[in-house]
Amino acid sequence: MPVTHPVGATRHSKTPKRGAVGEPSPSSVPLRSRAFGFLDRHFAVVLILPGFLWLAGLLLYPVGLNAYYSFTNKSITFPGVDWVGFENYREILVDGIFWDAAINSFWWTLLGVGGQLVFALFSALALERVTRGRGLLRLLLTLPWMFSSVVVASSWRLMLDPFVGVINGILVDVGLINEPLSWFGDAGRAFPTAIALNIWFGIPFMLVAILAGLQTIDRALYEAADVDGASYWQQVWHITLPGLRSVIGTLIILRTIWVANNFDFIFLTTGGGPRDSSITVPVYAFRVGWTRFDVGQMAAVSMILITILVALIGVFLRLFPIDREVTDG
Amino acid sequence: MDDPRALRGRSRVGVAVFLAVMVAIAVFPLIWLILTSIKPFDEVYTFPPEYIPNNPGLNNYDQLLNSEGADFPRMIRNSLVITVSTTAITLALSAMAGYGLARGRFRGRILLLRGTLLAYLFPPILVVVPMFVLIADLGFAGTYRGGIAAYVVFMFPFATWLLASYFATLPRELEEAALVDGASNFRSFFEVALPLTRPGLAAVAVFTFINVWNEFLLALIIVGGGENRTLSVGLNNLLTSDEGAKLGLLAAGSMIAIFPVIVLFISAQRHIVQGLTGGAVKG
Repeated sequence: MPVTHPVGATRHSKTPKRGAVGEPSPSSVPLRSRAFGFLDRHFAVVLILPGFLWLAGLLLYPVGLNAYYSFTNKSITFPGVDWVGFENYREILVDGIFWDAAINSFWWTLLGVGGQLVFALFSALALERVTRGRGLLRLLLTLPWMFSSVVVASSWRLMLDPFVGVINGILVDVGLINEPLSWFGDAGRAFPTAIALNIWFGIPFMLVAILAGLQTIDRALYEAADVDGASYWQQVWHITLPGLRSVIGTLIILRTIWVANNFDFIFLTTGGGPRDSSITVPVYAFRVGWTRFDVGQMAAVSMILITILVALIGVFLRLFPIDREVTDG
Repeated sequence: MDDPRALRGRSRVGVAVFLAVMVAIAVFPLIWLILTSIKPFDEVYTFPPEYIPNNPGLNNYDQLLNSEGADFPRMIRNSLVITVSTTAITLALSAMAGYGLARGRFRGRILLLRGTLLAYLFPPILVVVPMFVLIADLGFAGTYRGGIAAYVVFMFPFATWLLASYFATLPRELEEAALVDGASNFRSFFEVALPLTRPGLAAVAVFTFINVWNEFLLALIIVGGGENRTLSVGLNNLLTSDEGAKLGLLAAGSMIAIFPVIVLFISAQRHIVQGLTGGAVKG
């Protein structure tokens, strides 16, 4: 290996002690250039510092505050803060609505991630078999990705309107239902409808990733399988899926984290209702902390979720060490 | 046939039907938004719905943008200021940090890389309220500055990650040649490495712009519903307003919000795919 030592050290050895050469110039110049030399030798740290200080001040510190608040009765409306020990955690764990939210979150995540994956996988396989117009089809399939959560909510609110919604119109036309249904206003339908929206929105991200993963599979494997007379589905099962293993694994973990913590869709479509039937843990946390101003209790919910999150990411890094490429670089 | 995996016989129909259904489901909401946004009031409120508008017009857009006291122009400006500023700051900070992480050798580097990944995966909902408390204490709640400060936090990690992997793939020889010629490390970063990273920078810019433009939760809590409110928050007000059912206006507002994203997405598709596969889903 020609250059395994730091670039900074290369630079250092090339121009030793520039400031100490003793040019006959005003004293401030050597000092300034000596300072620059010092900074330049530590250029990596200097470059990294601004961004990571930003992160430390506005992310790490609030997370620390969160941990502290979770043991206090901190509120947005009252100035004082008292230590309450594990009271916040106890109150959450005996709150029936929290457990409803936890169960809903489980289904929300499982069905959401699973649905996105299945539809994206089949779409990608189908797209691979199209010979003409593949680019256009991919772009059209990617459209939901461009929707912001608010536009997802408003467009589906429009289409699912209980009185004039076009989905009801279509379903009545084809004879699946006799009269318009209320989708978000009905305790039995609101949550499944929101899950469907979440799947609709999440397919493109997975599709694009899976399509990229498909490009990395060696074509020769399929040709060999063809020669051996393997059927299409045998090839999918024995070549394609194993080839996509790490892409799919990464997608499942990333998406599980994001979908489990998704706040926007439920908040914007059902608000957790009707009668808490569609409440998930993030919406529960929001309600406690922002609607009831009970920052301490919301912090306790967050701390529980952060613990689960860190554990998940630990498992993820163990299974798929995606930081290796940079760390080995 | 040139492609050995091309369709044969019966499965051709299956693939066509499946893709047709998937494309219809993916595309229909946008089409319906467009159609509803150009319908006059009475055509929006008919059931069964009118599929094709009889008297299409831009009344809804006109009302949102030009009527007296219309706040959409101001919300568009708010969103633009916050989005563009965040993108610029994120680009600068992440290019620096990405290069430092890719090229530097210092203790704690691996820890920082892992921390970046953790921060990238960190959901805003878990920290938004203490973040609000902090930003409010600094006097920046409800301001552009507060919003930008918060957005950079959530955009910087992914951007840094992406650019660090990008810098790591650049051949070192060019930078070393510059150093041998007597350039400082900073100069070789600015004048050698940075220009070579233009595609990575473009990917970061597009990603950051779209994500901040579309974001809702931080906009709602940190920037709030006051005069600095963004398009997302304003659109949500329209969605939940008491008159609730101004569906035509809602559709036109949604079109205004989604339009720049679609333009950017289509013109930068290559960068987005590259960014995604280069940073987010590397397996």
